[in-house]
Amino acid sequence: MEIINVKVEKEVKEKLERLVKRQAYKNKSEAVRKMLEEHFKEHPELFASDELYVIVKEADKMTNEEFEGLAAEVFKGPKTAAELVGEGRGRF
Amino acid sequence: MRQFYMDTNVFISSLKPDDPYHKEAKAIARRLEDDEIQAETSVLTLVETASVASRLHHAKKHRKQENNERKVFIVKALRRLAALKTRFINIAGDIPIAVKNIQTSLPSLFNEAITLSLQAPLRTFDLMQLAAAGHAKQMNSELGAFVTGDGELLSKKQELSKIIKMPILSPKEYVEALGLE
Repeated sequence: MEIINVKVEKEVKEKLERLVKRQAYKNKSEAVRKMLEEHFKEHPELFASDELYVIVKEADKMTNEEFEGLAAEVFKGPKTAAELVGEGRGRF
Repeated sequence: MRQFYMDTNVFISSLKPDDPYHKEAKAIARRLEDDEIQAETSVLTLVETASVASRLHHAKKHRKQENNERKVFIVKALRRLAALKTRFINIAGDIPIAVKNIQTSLPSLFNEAITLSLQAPLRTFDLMQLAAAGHAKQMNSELGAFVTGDGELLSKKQELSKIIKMPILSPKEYVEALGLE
């Protein structure tokens, strides 16, 4: 296991001590560890944006000119912009 | 009239040089970046932009590209849209639906779209874009037009304009009305 130092408000520290005293957890360290684990388990969406962060970093490297060139190539074709959007609206 | 509601296809047209409205859409995008005009649009436009970028890139290039290019392309498209300083309308909050035996809450935008369906026989996303436009007009009386390149909406512009209380114009008509060319 790794060690991290975390500063908390006095009130939070006292609450943790109360939980340890009630034997809900062995010690404050275990209390914080279990609470963090439970929170991460309940909120997987917190990490959903990790991939997006990497993509956004890569997007920074593409210039506007490069993007416009790629867009012209990708969107090129017989269908109009309205038809391309319209396909997503259930038309055509 | 310098403030308008922008349909998704106007933005896509500005990136598609072979589109019939490209010249006008490009002129609109340039004026938006320069703060000469202001656009509002639904948060749905973000989703539609991502969808078009994703679908088209996949169809055209997926055999050649194994890297992240498609994902980067989608992100760049969304950032390009944001660079136009567009205000995104999010009709937030759930409200109970006002039909007797339906006991549920639904997002306000959905409720407005259902109400709109009573007035116009349109497809789901058209209803939602027009509901957002109608809401935007209620919030901002300066909003002068709903600008779209969509032939189906343009063909019904007389009746739809009355519902959303502002004219529905093609990019060409909008550019001409403002003398932007």
